[in-house]
Amino acid sequence: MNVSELTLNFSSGVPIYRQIVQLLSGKILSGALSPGEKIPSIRDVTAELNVNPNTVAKAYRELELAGLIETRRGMGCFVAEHDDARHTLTDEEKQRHLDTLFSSLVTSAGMFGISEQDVSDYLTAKHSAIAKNNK
Amino acid sequence: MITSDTMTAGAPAPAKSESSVASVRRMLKNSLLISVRDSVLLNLASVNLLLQVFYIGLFLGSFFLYPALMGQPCRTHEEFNAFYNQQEHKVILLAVALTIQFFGTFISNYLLLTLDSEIIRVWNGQKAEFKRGWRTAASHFWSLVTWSLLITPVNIMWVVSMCIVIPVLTRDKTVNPFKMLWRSVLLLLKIWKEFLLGIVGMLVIVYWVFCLVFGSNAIFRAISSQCPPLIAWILLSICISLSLVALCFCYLFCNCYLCGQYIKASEGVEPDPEADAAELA
Repeated sequence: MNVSELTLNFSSGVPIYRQIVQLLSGKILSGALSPGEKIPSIRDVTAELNVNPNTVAKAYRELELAGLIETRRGMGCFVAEHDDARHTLTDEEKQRHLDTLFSSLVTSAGMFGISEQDVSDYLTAKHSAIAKNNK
Repeated sequence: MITSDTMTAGAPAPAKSESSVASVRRMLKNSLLISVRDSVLLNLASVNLLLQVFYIGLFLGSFFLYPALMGQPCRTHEEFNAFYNQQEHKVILLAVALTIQFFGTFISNYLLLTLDSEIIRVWNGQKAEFKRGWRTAASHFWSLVTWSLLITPVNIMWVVSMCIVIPVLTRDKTVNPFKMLWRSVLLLLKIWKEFLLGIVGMLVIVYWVFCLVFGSNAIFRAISSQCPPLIAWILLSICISLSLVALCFCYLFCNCYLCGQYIKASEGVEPDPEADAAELA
């Protein structure tokens, strides 16, 4: 994986460390990054994207806690070697991911003047529409 | 099964928040560290300040020289008043003043962006480079033009520019100045407590630096009054140089702190100039 695949939006209002977590977890969970694949080192991300090493380290720590990546001493960071990272997530971890996704959605929506209630109504409506389509 | 009811229950407990004072103290200490670490930054800050002094000189000079250029040299306050009360001169003076003000604002913003982008690089553990900073500022040319146009008529806006807008512009290429201001305000709201505390901290440090400089100046002057003229002149030039260095240093220090706070607000993590990317990995 190249650092250039990590596109950060500095004007979105979403903290950069959270954007890195979302981008990488999205790629891992969708299968775009396969188990055992090397992810860019903190040094590379820092130099290429001009972000603070602490920010990248915090994002990687969160991903490691979620069981999505693992650090091999002296070799760097790799996508966790499970059959499928999605199945290894506990309910608590899934809740944490949902929490992160929801709060970043609310923050991003807030930038456009969309209230939390509107986001919630939209999600409910979307969910009903999907359920109707599935029937 | 994940439900909305269990969402909050399952979410990790937020880390015990550290006091703002401790965070500000650490940021001020790190800003001091950055100010003395890279000589390129001090050179950039010096050029920045010198150009601002030149621009103020040009602004005042045009006011005083214009009557002489028009063939009506003025010496007293009354003569200047009488000259500038003529409608045609008033309009020309306003046009000249606004033009100089615009170019001065643009150049100082351009150099401030050069400085801030390199300060952010140093916060991120890299070395400062004048050329790279200059190129970064050049890539924001139109943003700087529109922002300078907006703040030209309002003198006090340069404070807003220095404190909140220019650090944000280092990574944001929006050309709409109102959007720039809005995004800067949104970021500032995230760290308003640290920002205000930091301003107080910066003022205290700047005050002590100036006390030291003026104290040493007074001692130099007392000594030079009892010395031969040559030594007195040397001492005087040392005093002036010391004051200028102190001024540049304070300017750099304030910008380092503001950029540090910007990184914290935008990245969500407090920057640490000592953090080594290789070790963190």
